[in-house]
Amino acid sequence: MTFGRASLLLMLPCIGLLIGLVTGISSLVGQAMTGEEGSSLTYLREFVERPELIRIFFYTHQIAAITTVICVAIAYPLAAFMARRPRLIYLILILMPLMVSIVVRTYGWIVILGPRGLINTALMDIGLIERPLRLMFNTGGVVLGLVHVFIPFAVLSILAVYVKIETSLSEAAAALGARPGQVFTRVVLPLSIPGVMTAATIVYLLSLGAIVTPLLLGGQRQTMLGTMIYNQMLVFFNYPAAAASALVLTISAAIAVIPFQLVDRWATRKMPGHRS
Amino acid sequence: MKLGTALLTGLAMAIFIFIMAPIMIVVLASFTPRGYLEFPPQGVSLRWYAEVLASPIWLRAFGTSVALAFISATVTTFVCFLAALVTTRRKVPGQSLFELLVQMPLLLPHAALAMAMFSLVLLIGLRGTFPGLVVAHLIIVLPFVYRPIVNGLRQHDISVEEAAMTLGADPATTFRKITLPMIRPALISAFLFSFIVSFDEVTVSVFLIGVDLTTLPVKILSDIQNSASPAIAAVSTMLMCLTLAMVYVINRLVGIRMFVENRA
Repeated sequence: MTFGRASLLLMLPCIGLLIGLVTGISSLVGQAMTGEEGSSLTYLREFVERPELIRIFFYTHQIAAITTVICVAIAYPLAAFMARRPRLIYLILILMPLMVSIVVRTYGWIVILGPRGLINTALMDIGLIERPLRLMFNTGGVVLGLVHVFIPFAVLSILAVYVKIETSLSEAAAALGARPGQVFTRVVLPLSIPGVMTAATIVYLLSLGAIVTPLLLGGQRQTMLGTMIYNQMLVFFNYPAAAASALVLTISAAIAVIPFQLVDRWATRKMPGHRS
Repeated sequence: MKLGTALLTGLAMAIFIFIMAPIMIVVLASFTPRGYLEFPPQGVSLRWYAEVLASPIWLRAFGTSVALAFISATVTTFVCFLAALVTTRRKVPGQSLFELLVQMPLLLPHAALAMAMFSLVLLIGLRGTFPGLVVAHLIIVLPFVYRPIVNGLRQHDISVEEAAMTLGADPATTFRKITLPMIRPALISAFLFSFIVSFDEVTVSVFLIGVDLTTLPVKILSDIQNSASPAIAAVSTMLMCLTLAMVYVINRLVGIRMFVENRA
């Protein structure tokens, strides 16, 4: 089949949707620059002037960073395991949580950590504690929830790279006399860095923009940018303030993932046979 | 090395348990006969399932979510198929910008994407309406649909089409008998994945719901915040059964492996 100039018309419906997306983003940026008296930078300026906003900003990035490190640290050995034993059941175990809504998965942690949850009931039953412990509504609860919700993404990203390197190259290295430890540190690990960086980028971005998990597992002092936007919109009905927060969130996210991309590029460049 | 393998296996099993535990515990907790959530449940009852299935609010939220996911998946699969046919077969001016924009909903932090979608829906005057939700979901699921279809089209060999044409098939017949059957697994995969993404979506939808309009995940979210009713556990369990059924269907139709490869 030939695709002449007229075939470009087939793209129009898709382009229409993209125009919608661009319109939404532009309108958001416009709102973010609206202040109480017409156009101004009132709400954006608050991010450098109000200490509590600065605190929330750094807290959000801190949570995202912790979540990313833990996620990658857990996902890496799991991906290595799955690459070595490619069984359907393992894939399903990773994929199924991805298909269950974040709300439901976060709710599971409330059932476990809540005042009448699994852990508190068990501890009270055996008489270790008299009153329920405060296991959620704290930073630990938020990080635990985020790690749990985003770990399948990290596993799949690392696995995608791992299955390509595991067998042939590590066998070659072993045949050439490398000890198992050396095969890992000199061959498998360097080659898997791009997958790790993809995983880190995805998890960092997802954690940064999360609303549901910090909303349900965090308390008043665990406000992240996402939950702040939620409150600004649905509690205080302050659309321009929420738009400004969303803009700050997006720009800082774009800057924050640059290191991951740089490491990725560096690792790829060092690979044998890389054409640059 | 034996010890290393055993350690790795043990670690992997522990992580699988960590991933599955909260999901399984919700299922068990849903059978409680009591009026509040407790674990382990004292006794077994289907009381909360009956309550949910008899509740018009839950049923309506479920209906809204199914309709929303079905429309979003169908429309975007069709729209992206048309676009991908062109982008995989000829040079398109501004193609890299086009593909960057298609990926945009994945690259933006979710809370910011939600705000952008709210701004769009507000601008076109559809806030709090079902069409407003549809517009937002059509855009959100784009990257999940476009990628598998492009991958599918790239994998298939265009020379088979050319052979068909050389042997006398007209373009319409070639499309129907050669292109479509070859691309079908990718289309099904794209449709199912976008259906799930739309059905589960909550962060964007929560800003777009209206007075009498809510989706199932948003309804669950607000119920978690406002009550400790075990009905939430029952709804969640039913959703998980649906998900399992979906996994089964996907595996039968296109295979889980292809599904996983396509989403990355």
